[in-house]
Amino acid sequence: MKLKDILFVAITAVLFGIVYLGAVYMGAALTGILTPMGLGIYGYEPFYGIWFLAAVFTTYVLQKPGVGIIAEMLAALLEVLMGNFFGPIIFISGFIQGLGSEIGFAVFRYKKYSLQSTMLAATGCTVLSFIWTGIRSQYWTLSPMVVLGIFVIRLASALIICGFGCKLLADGLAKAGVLKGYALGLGQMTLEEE
Amino acid sequence: MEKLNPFLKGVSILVCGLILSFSYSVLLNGGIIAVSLILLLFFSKARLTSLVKILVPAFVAAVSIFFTGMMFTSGSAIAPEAVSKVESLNFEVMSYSMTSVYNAIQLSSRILAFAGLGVLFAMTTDGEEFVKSLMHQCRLKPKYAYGVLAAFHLLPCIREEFAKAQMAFRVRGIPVTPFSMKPVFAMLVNTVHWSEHVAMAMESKGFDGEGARTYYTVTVIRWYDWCFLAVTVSLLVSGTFLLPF
Amino acid sequence: MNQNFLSVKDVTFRYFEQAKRNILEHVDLEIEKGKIVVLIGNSGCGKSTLAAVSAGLYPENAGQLLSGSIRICGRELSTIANSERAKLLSMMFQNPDLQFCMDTLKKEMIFCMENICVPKEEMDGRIGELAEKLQIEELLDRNIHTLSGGEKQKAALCCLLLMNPAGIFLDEPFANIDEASTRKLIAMLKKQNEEQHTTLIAIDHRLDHWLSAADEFIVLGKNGQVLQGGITVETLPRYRELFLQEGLFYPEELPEFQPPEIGQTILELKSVSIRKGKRKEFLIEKADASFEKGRITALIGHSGCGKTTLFSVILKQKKYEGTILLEGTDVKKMKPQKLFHRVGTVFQNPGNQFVSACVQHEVEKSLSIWHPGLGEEEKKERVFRLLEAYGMKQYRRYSPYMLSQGQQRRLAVLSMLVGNQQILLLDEPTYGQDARSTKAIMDQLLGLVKEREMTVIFATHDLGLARRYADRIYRMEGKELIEWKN
Repeated sequence: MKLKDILFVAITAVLFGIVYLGAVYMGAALTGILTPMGLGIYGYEPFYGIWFLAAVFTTYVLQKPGVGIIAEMLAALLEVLMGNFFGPIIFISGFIQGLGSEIGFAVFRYKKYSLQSTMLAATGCTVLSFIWTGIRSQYWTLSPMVVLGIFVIRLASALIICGFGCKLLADGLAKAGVLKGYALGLGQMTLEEE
Repeated sequence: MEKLNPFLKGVSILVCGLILSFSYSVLLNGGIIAVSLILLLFFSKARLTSLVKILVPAFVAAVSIFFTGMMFTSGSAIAPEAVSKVESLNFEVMSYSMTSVYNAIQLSSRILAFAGLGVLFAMTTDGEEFVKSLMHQCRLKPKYAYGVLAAFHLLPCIREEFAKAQMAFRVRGIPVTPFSMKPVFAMLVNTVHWSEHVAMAMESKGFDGEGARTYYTVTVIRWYDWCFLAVTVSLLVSGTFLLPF
Repeated sequence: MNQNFLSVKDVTFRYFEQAKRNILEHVDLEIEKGKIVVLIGNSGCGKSTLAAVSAGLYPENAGQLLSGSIRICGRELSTIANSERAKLLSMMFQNPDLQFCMDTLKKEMIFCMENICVPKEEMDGRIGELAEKLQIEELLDRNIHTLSGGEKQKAALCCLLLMNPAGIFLDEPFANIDEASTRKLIAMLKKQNEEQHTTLIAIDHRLDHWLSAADEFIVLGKNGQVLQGGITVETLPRYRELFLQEGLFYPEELPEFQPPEIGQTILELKSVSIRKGKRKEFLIEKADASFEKGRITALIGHSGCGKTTLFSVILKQKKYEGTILLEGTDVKKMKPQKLFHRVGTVFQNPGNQFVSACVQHEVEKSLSIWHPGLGEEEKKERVFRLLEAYGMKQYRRYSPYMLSQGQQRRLAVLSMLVGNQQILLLDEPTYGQDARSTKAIMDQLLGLVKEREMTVIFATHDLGLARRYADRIYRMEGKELIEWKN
């Protein structure tokens, strides 16, 4: 990757980080409401898809293998710089999410970049991150219905925010002629800039 | 704590976190929380007020998962409709089995143990030092290291511009929530331009992502860094095997 | 013997393989060693591209070089490594926010020296020496984000001077900073040129502040072609026609500024105070001002003095103390939607407020917001008429982001017009524009004031622009807002 691409990935990650911070307040409020019912664990799940944005979005734009993992690792490093209280362990979380996104795109051998591939990547992220948080929070000790609920909400969030969202945002950018320096924008040259 | 090499400290805590992920002992969790707090309070420059501030969200998460554990531990789950009646809560708590109480404590102490480890790192490590250490000890290429630093230092700019974009839509008569796509889209347009401009500015100052460069400060690994790694990891491993529950 | 510092031969460059036209077409350019040369050309003539290509930043970062060669100090550019090249030619950019990768000037300076492999023992000494010489000690450890635009540009220049390259390329370095900072920076550059014989190549669309410093002016035309080289301060009057024909600023004395009689007040600030962020310190203290109906009022002041903040206060987007009256009604008591229906705003970066994928829908969307009951047919027709009247019809299918900066601003103004807003706030409407584009933007505003009795308030750092177009000028100085009179 060129320095320009790294900066693009890193700044995108910062931007999505800021979007997530906007969601954190809602997540906290939701957790507060749900806690007495024992469902506080669901509080942040509806926004989980924002975590996967960086990986799927940048892979969809740059269309290179490995971008997803790099994006998530850079995002994790940025989190550490911002003083995230989970510390270095988020490198593992980042790596696992990045890997999930890579699997989604690898299914089409990094040749097809469509709604199908972003949806698959979002699903990949969800599955792997679900396994990882499952290990960390011992999901098997909880009632299966609650755990299933976590998975369903997270998957829905990932598919809507990440699967649809990435495709919508990136295609919009390409159409606006902004991405002409990137793989995604090359195929979209219709009008000539004056 | 601040004197430790950031990279090796990160590795130590990361390994501890991994071991913790696969071990299930309330006592171990409690031990980790205690050790982290002791190290933070007596062996670091971390300020008590900022420590409390950073631990609040972790505490909230722990409380919330505690309730989940109480009510939804597998095998002893209570129908949700019974729980939603707040007035009957006291009675319900009484009837919880020992396993669900134990499991709830287990789950919430785990969250706090993870947070303790994370905070121990976050509050004693300078981010820039950590990135430098990644370059020197982990062979991270300068283009990634400085790329991330540049993006991080743009954070206040990005935040300002994002607020401006949200305002710009609002005054156009378009309602804006934190999740509105339009301002995010406008910001992504900026991102494309910014990344090119910043890359050019860095390269015009002679930055070469992979070539030779000198360093003003070089982080090094000393004997006590290895000691820290060895002691923390062996403590945790023995804790995993020795502590009964 | 006079050797060339930079020689560009037969350079052809385009951004994209599939693009139908080249940005630079067989460009030849030679710059003598140790001179101060200013390249002037209108927006879109390819001058920034030429700079980036000459400094070796393109095609590394974008585009393709189709033909030609570039030599710096006799060496072929493509064979020189980045760190080596930075000692020969370094570049300073237009946007003060996007030139740094570290958070303080000192760290940024260290980053620069690391790049060119200065041994670490020498670093502190070099920083200290330069800081003392340029008197920037107090800037060294401040967070760059908290500096003003002028200070940021100064910091950027200091980094370059520290590396002491044989030449510096400056891409419109003063486009967004006030006159006083500009003068200081030019003095610094001139001194560097005299002491170190550093070659300075500047791109600008204004040459008034370069008159005392430059050795040569070169006028660039379409596709980066040199139209006229070898212009000096003495021979400049001979080329007045060429400047006007190319749509460039020709430095001329401004007529005396005469504000008209006081008219009917539409918007009034009464002892308005604004705090900086959430801190207690004031950004603006007890400001009084009145803006008149059907007039153009300019707000001048250096970047970061609070012009944009004042706009957000008028729009109820930031807390303030004091009273703001819109036609006698307290703004605090107005509903936001009602307020926005009467006060339209175009921010410095119009890209932040586009909502649609093409120019036509952009204006239609505004129409639907402000006139919800309108039929599809009528909407289309109104939009068409507007686009035609303001010369943007041929772009109606384009994405707003494909337009040039100047066109983007005019489109943003257009989408305000359909709502029949009576007051228009514009933040730096001519930022980075050449004379022709500035005139197009300002003429559009003048027309609106005449036809619709609109009230226009614009913020700028450029006193000249304010004097030429405004009826009344307010100046922000320190924490005060004062009416400016000659």
